[in-house]
Amino acid sequence: MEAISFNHVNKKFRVGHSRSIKDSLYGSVGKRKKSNLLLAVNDVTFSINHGEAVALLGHNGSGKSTALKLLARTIVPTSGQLVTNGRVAPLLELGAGFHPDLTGRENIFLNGAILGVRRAYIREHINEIIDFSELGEFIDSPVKFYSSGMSARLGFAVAVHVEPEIVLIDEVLAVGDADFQKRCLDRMAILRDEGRTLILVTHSLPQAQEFCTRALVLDHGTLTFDGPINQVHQAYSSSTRSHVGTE
Amino acid sequence: MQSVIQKHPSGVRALNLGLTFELLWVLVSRELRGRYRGSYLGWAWALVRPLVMLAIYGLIVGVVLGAAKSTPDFMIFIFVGLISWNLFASIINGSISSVMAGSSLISKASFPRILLPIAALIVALVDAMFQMAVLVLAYVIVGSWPSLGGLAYLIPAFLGLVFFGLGLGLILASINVYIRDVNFLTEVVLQVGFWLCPILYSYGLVVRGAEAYGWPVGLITQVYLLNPMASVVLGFQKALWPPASTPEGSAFSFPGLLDERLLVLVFAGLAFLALGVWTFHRLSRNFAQEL
Repeated sequence: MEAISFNHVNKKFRVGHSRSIKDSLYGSVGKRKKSNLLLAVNDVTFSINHGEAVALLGHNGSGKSTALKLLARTIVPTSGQLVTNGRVAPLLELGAGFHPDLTGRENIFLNGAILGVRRAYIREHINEIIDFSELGEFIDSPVKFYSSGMSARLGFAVAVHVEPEIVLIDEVLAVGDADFQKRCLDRMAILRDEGRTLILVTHSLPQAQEFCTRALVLDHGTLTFDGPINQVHQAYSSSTRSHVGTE
Repeated sequence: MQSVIQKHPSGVRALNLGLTFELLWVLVSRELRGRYRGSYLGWAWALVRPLVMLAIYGLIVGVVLGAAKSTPDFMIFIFVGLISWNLFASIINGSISSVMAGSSLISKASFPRILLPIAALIVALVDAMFQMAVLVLAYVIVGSWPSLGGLAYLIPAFLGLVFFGLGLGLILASINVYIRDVNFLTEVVLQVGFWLCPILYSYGLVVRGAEAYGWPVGLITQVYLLNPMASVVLGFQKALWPPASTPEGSAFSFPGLLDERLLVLVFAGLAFLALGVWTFHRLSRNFAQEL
């Protein structure tokens, strides 16, 4: 069964539009129909099967983050159909939703609820989560005293323990020290080998090749490549050239 | 034609309602636990603001302007009005700020956005409970208690307040994401609204004032009572201000048909809440790209 399918999905944004009544009043008097529409995702169609590990590649502004937000269902498509099958856990920016004044332990429950798992389940796995985070006694200190690496560790620890069917990973490996990064990668490999669907958003091709068997390349919102990751190199670098060329 | 379909393996969907309640609980306890953490007085702060307001208004309006002489149990009278107004104002302000403060959550995770203002409503109710406890203490000190018959007014007045307040809060909170002026406008309108409710003065004063100026009393009071919060405050006073059920208290005169007004308010409030939920639902789909 398909885990994810995009069917002619479009996402338009209005760019630089005003946020106050004054601006919109003045704006509508002078230049009325000056629409600054950005087509961030342009007629994208693909489907991903359960258990696939797919890299979503592209340069800044290629629309890959928008595609990921659509997948995480934090935004809805302007047109087209998007189907997800199974629980989606976004590992976007770790630690989103942490409350700075609450302790690490309290935040585990908070984050778990946001990621969509029952309290009882978290209670059962709380020791594993704390062990994985390596926070030790700091788990009972308020999160505002944590370093960014510490909160990232806690965020990742919760996210990998919620047993999602579909895992979305957005450049999370940019934080934490080398040792923690290695453990994150190991853990992601375990998730993949358990047959979960993995979507890794990155612009690092080597990292993608380590994990994924298939790649999707986005360029200016359009899907330019969909195939085995070992064939991506040429498509990706040619998209680099066209990207540079248009600027 | 756009659609987002989300399927779950069997069993997960059945848990969704429970999960939604757990998330709501977590959001509420995050707010309640986080708020006064790190302060020495902690929860006592929840009472400081309303009590200081009460003291200031009691002193200025009651003693300096002399309203306390003509109003039995004056402090209780204004405290009841303040409690109901504070609840209304914190539901509205809480709804708006919950969505703004939840922006990092909204842009990164998918969950029913409406839980944020609902959590704010529950937090506002907890605050009101604290103030009610102080009110009970005031009854003990003053030695007069509201009548049981009068207390029945609390039910429609409370429901009307919550329905109307949450409905308005949802509409304002969702529009505010797109037009930030709403936040500031609300602040001003709430300030005006406070004086349009019989909190620091009695409803009888409106009637007598209109008479004194020779204005059409019927028209003035009808317009005055178009403000749903005016009826809510009157309902609270009828229920919780002990002299309301005594002859000297009724000299303050509550408007005729208060029972019917409150009943209409409950149903109108419910309809307004439905409008609020619908508006919020429509506008919240793209919160993540606007915040």
